[in-house]
Amino acid sequence: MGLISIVLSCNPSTSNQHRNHFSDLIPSYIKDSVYLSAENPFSKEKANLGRYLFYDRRLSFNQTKACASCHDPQFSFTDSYRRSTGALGDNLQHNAPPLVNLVFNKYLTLADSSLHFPEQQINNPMFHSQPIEMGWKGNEALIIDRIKKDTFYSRQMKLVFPDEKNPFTKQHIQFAIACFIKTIFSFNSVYDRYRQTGKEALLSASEKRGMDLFFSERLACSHCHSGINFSTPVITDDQGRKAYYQNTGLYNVNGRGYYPAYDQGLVELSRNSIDMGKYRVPTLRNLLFTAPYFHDGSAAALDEVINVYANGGRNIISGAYAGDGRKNPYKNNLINGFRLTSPEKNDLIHFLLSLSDSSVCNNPLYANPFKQDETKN
Amino acid sequence: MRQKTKLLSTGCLLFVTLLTGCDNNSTTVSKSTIPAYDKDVLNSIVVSADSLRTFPFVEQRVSVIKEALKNPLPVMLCQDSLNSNQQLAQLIALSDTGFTKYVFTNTHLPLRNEVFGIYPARQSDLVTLKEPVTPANVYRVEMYNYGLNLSSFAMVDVKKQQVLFYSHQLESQPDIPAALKNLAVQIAAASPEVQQALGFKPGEKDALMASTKTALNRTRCERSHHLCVAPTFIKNDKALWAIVDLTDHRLVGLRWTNVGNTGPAEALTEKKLQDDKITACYCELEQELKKNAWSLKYMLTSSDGLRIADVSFNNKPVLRSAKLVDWHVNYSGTDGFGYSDAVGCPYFSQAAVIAWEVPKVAELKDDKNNTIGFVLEQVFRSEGWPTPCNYNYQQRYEFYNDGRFRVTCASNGRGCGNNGTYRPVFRIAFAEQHNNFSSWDGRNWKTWEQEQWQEQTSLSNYTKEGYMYKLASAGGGYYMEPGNGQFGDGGKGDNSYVYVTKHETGRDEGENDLSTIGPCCNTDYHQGPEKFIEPQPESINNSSLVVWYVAQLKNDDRKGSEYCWSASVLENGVYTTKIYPCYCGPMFIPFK
Repeated sequence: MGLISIVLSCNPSTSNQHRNHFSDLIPSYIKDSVYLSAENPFSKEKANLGRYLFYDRRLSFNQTKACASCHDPQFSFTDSYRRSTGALGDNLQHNAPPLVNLVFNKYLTLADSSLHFPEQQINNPMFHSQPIEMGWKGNEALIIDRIKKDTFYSRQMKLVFPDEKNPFTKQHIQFAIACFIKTIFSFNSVYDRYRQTGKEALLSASEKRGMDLFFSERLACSHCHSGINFSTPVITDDQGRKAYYQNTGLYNVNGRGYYPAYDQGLVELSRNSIDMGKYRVPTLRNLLFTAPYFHDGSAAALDEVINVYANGGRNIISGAYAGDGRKNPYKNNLINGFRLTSPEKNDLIHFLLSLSDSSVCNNPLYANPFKQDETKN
Repeated sequence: MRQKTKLLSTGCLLFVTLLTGCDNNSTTVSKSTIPAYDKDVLNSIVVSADSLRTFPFVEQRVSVIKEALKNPLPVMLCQDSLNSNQQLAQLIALSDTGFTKYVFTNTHLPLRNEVFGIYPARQSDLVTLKEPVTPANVYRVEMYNYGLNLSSFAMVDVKKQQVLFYSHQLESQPDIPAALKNLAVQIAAASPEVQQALGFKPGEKDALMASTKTALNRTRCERSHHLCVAPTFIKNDKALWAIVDLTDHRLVGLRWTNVGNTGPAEALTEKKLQDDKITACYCELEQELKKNAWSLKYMLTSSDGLRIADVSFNNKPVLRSAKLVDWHVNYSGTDGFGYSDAVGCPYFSQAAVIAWEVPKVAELKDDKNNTIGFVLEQVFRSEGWPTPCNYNYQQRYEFYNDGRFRVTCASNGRGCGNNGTYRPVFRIAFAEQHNNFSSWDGRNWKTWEQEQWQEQTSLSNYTKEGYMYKLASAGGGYYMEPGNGQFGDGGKGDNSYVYVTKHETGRDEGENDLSTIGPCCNTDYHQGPEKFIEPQPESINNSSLVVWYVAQLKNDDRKGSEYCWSASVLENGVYTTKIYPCYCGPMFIPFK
């Protein structure tokens, strides 16, 4: 859609100007860079309009799916299923990622390193047709017409985009939704409060022990799960760039390092075999609400996830995807297993859950503005 | 819970359970506890305007409603064909002021009420009666109040022309009658939205699961606040859910689910046992079973599955009863739609999933083929299983020679989508009158002082033997071991909610047959049993206890990971149905 992908965080002063838009939303102690598209200046009015659009099922061709269908605040903007479901009931490619603190993410999607901003990413759910997610392809005019005919949107779109000859465009809809998504912040976990105040008493003994384990070299979790969202790696690739995409040895189909054909990670974009099974390092925030885990939702619970890392990958003994992920040749060499006692595992889980912020699930600023079914009432 | 009332105007749930004798000198509800009504309730009294624009059959229905609202008693009579005893039972029930207590608002505005069914009583309906009755003379009358979303039940002795007892349950809906099911199918099939989505006009016979209650978030069907069902139409490997609000008579939404592509195209053709044999032997009569050191009675209920009662081991009472109250099947955590399934007898209810065979008793063997106990098992099936949007449930009680027992069930698929979560609701009532309940906190047993609930999560604590709870009395008790994938039956872990409530003889909290106790699709602890706990939990020290166990099982159709699923596989050159059950349920281990 011709976005100029300016990573504003490269320029601290500009970054700070943009931070001002969110000044009342981001705690002052957080100094991390934000990534914003220069094409879509933030405004609260635009974000408010975006909130309506985010929850509106009329944005799918058959009026059955809204953005919120896969990104529901009650699950920290995920949907609690292994893989989300499209407007025609098809299972989509990935587990729905949580939409919190997105402005701090350099990369947004699980397996597409070309997308940096929500304004770009929104194209995927709207226009994907294999399988259909929201079904915009071939239905763009129909959907926009629906929005245009709504008296609320008719008024709001003109107010929010006053200088535009035609405010009713796909891009403006995307911009408004992107603005709303960028306002979803989650910094009210027990761990956040501990970081903000320095009060150790906020963490339980078990959470503290778990925190020590998490940041230890023995487990090395923080080598990949670092930064404000626990999703920025500190490790680098051969060219010295941060390795945002990692293969964690979940699959090894046929012993050749392959992932299931329907979903093979970054390699699908890069066509470079070293990217087989690589997915963006996910955030560890709000794990309490975002099960199941991994890019395909193949782990139902956190202890299952930890077992995979403790074993240095996942060995699938039978079935179509049988193979020893521990021996996947494309696996990150940090994933080589560790020993963890049962109490230690509990401590680690306690710490990981201390990164959960329930306020994001019921924050009225993020809630569905429609009281009843917007398409019928 | 002492005071089971809360004002409707607060928007919170109300669950009123009254149990009164026919002489009206038992428990009564004071005026102050009669639910108030708010604007939403008033909106439900009259039919919303947009339903009038729809179809001739809806208009006809609306005129019936309007006529009924003018009657001195604003109740629509049961539309099913009734024999003379059923008609009499209906009249007797409606002449009882306790049963009809809520047909008006407290300012005497008529609420919309409808008798949904009149069924012959079974033993499981009569367990709280103190005086013996002749079950053949007793009928269960079920009435639904659309205005308050309240179910009323009366047990009527037609010989004595007397209401034996009645109860009211708010936020609860009885099984719907055939006429309403047909209306829902008519609305769905005639709706242009459905025809457009399918690309053709469906036949009314194509609709599946039309009598099973459903929900849909952000509509009036949310959390089953209105009476809603979902006639479902299969198109290739998809299912189109046409969610119909039977309170407002309209289609409120369409949703697609993926039913997978590994299923057989047609239902199994094996001959089904005659319903009347199951009915005569196991629905009307309680069977006795004495095996090894165990003794128990069992019976198929109308909607609570296979119920066991008076269970004892070495002549020592163990359970008063155990049963499977509901299956909540959710296909979307965000949209909140799915089914509230009940399992039961073929004849007595509109429950979609009925007893398919007679209950079976089989030996329980260990790895070395030694007999270690026996199992009592029951299969419930939809007619069209294993084709999509048909269900197969198994209920199983395991009794071990060493005194252990396990209450289990499984879904055998195939269901209506490959992204579903099953939540079976067990009710297990212990016989011991003076029990204490504790949970393991990692170091010690912590006694629960009040009625409460707890979820089994990654962080749950277990003893080294795998026990999580303990029921103890002076003479010993039972450890409770929730499913964690350790029982060798393919179960992958229950992720269960455990609720403990106090049993009291003065009122019915599920001892009799329960209608659907909770909506299909809540993703939290609101599965139904909490209604017996909130808002004022009672002390449970030294009490007769009921344990409610709600497992949470996600289905899976991925090759190699199938769970709660059935698929068609080629074996020896022919297609056969392979079942991937998801067994769940706790084991109870005795101690002294």
